[in-house]
Amino acid sequence: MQDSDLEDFVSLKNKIAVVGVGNTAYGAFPEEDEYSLGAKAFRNAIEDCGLDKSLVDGLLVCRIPSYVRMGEILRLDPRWTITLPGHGRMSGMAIVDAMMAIATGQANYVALIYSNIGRSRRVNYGGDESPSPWDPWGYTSPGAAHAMMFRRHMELYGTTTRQLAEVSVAFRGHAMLNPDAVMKRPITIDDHENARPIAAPLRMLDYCMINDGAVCLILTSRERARDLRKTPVLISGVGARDQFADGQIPMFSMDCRYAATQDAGSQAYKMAGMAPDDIDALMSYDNFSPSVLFSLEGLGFCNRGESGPFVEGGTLALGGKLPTNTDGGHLSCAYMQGWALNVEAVRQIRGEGGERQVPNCDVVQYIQSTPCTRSFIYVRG
Amino acid sequence: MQVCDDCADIHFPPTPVCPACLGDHQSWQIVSGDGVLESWIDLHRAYWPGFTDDLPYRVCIVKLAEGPLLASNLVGPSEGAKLHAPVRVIFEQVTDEITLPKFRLAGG
Repeated sequence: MQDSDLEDFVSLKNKIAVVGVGNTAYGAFPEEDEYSLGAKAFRNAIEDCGLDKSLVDGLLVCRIPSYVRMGEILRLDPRWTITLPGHGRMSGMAIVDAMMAIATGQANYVALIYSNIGRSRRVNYGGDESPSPWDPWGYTSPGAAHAMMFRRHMELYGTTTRQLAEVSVAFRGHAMLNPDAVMKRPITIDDHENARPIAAPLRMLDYCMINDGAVCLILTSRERARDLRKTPVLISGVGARDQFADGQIPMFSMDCRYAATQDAGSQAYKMAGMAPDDIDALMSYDNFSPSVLFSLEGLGFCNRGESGPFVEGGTLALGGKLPTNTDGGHLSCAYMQGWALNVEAVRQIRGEGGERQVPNCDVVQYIQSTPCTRSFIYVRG
Repeated sequence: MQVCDDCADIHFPPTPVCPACLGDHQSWQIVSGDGVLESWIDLHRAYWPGFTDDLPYRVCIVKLAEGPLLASNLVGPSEGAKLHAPVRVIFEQVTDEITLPKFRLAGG
């Protein structure tokens, strides 16, 4: 690697591979903790790629209290260690950090371990667990912020809750084909319309679940990946844009994150030399269903304001124009905060999707349209 | 609202330095109380027990005429609620020590 390459992130196109993926079961596991779940996901990822675990010299843990304890349990002495908090945007940031560590020789094989015991710990998103200056007015929770954004979308563009329901219905259909998914009961657009309102216009079926589970990804260079068990999946494009300056009302964005998503998406497409038409499947961070609509517009799968009509008629379902969140997503598979969506991208490109496999799936895009927006384009190595 | 003495940036919630020029010199300015409705929702879940009796209650985001965004409650008749509808502040005395600014549709 030449010195100039270090200054040019775009030169990392197709140079870093995801070689191993693993996850635990998802659900409620009060007898487990972050470490036991994380260890099992790591074990599954190691088995997936056939790597000698003593070669793992990079460790990134997310939503896990102690990287020291995690490393002790896995008996690892890395050269590179990072810990990230359990915010629903760290998967994207973690993967970029791991790419840089590998590209600069700080680590050869990086294990990214995410573990979530939020269901059994009864984590609440909103109220005293996420205090803000707006609590005295009862304005709290990420769901309320997304309801505010969706209301703007309804007012500005005429988007309807029946159109929004297409997101939840498509993802539930995918979950029913995924043995790992938590939510398996079929739902219809009418079910969505009749669900209990939480922060109207959003209803229960617009909200992600809270559940326990863990996910692990193992990354290395494209060259090292050739010696491992599975077909490597390469990171072909990366885009990033954070949005803090206008964060006075937490999680709320006046433009529904359009500009940030467009920016991150443009970077990823440019690096990969691709456009939305090249994408065979999309993995879209779905903490709440409106996030998916906002992502589609920002990335340019449809024009701004037209995501409602775009998703009508099963566009996002398997067999539709743009199969999205084929594992069921956060809404119906598991709340793994983006991590499981990256794993699903890898599995789809490998052709390991089973009943939910997208035919001829060569290119998968990941997008997290959040205060830290990230997008990746994955291709077969 | 907090306003920077040096560059006149106006912002809320308050910040330890001016977000625009990073200066230390800031003071408080009384604003008009006029704004427009940028969004609104109805909370059907009480994240604090104190809101249980109010369910569902209406929360709004208002852009003040002076610029900053506020989250607050939209109170009074709200049939005319629509994006960018003009709103006007009212002050609700919650306890002897706490008064909250809330908003009504202007002319409503």
